[in-house]
Amino acid sequence: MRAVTIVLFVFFSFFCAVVHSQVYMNFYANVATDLANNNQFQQLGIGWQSRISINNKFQFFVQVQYVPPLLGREINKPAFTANPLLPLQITVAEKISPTQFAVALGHCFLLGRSSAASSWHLVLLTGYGVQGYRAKASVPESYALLNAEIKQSVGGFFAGLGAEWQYDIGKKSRLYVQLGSHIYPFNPTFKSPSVYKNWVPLQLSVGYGIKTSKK
Amino acid sequence: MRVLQFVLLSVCCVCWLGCKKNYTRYFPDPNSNGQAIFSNTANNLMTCFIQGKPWRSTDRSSGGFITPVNRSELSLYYMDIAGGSDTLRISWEGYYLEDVAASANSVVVLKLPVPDGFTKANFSQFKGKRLSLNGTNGYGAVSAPGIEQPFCNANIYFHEAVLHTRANGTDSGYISGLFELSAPAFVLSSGRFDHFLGQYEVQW
Repeated sequence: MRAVTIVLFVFFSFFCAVVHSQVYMNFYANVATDLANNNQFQQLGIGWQSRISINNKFQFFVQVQYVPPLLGREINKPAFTANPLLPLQITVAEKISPTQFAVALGHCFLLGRSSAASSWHLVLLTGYGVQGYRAKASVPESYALLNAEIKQSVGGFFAGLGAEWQYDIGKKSRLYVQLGSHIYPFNPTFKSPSVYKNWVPLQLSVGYGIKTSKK
Repeated sequence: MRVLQFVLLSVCCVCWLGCKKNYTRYFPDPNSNGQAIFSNTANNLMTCFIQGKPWRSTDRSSGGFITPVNRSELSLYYMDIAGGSDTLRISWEGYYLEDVAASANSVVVLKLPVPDGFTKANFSQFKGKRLSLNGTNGYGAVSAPGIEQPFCNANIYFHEAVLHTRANGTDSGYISGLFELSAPAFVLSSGRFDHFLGQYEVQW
């Protein structure tokens, strides 16, 4: 019940703010590297934001982001067989592809302006996300891959921090570039037999916003 | 009111004491339907295909207050035969995934010949080795509904094989590997096992 109240409060506040503010619809793409696993994994994501400029110094946004399991890393693992007619051990490439889905609420504070159209911002966000990975390996018949990874996902709350540069293109659109990271402080770790830690992506996002309000 | 609290607390305690703990971890292999992954992390499980049907060993569990039985899926039994060759018998209890009730108490056995005076320390000699048993010097056997195969040829690979006795006298070790059995008109394929060996598994 408390969660429902919080969600209703947030969305009520959000829509009240929409009525009285400038609203931008942002679409963005990002590339990320995973800090938690020694940068072994890269991610390519897309996202959508509805961003409200409450005043010149503060923006509030709702964000949905998806990282499809497109990019992966191939890791060589041993596979064995009991068949004496075949070599005991071979090496098989196993592809691990990270994936994430997250919904977040964010705050964007003006740090300074370098020109009338160009500005720098501090971004704070918090939300709920599910992160996981897909694993795929082509193992020859008669062989068994040792400690094969299995498809997994874990969900939890996360908090993020970033820096953003915005550039207004005319009065109805803007471009922005954001560098940020987020962590899942309370997430359970991936279960055994996985050897991977939860993703901590350092991501570079490039977005384009279109003003949807008349104000 | 206090009596009610006492009764509720007692019921909770009894339920808690009655809990079983499962020591088997089953991670399905995405590349092989019905099988667990091949592992060396003491998942306490054996899976295989018997005549093409997926079969797995029972869960290893420790009983609680209500059912205080420690149940193990694996038995490692050293048989010292006077005047004959000693044997090491590895057996699993389990069932077909498709028909649990009808196939309960199925058994898969590997019987390995070992030299006289074979010790627990010698058990590690199997690690990394591949063995072929021809049905007479050693064999595999399967007993399941509709299947009685007492002497099968066997190919076995031991990825892990460690066994020793702790200071307190209990046994401790690991065993993992692969195996396959064959006999006329019978095949057990893709056998994968991975177990911790403790006092309830080892009979030496």
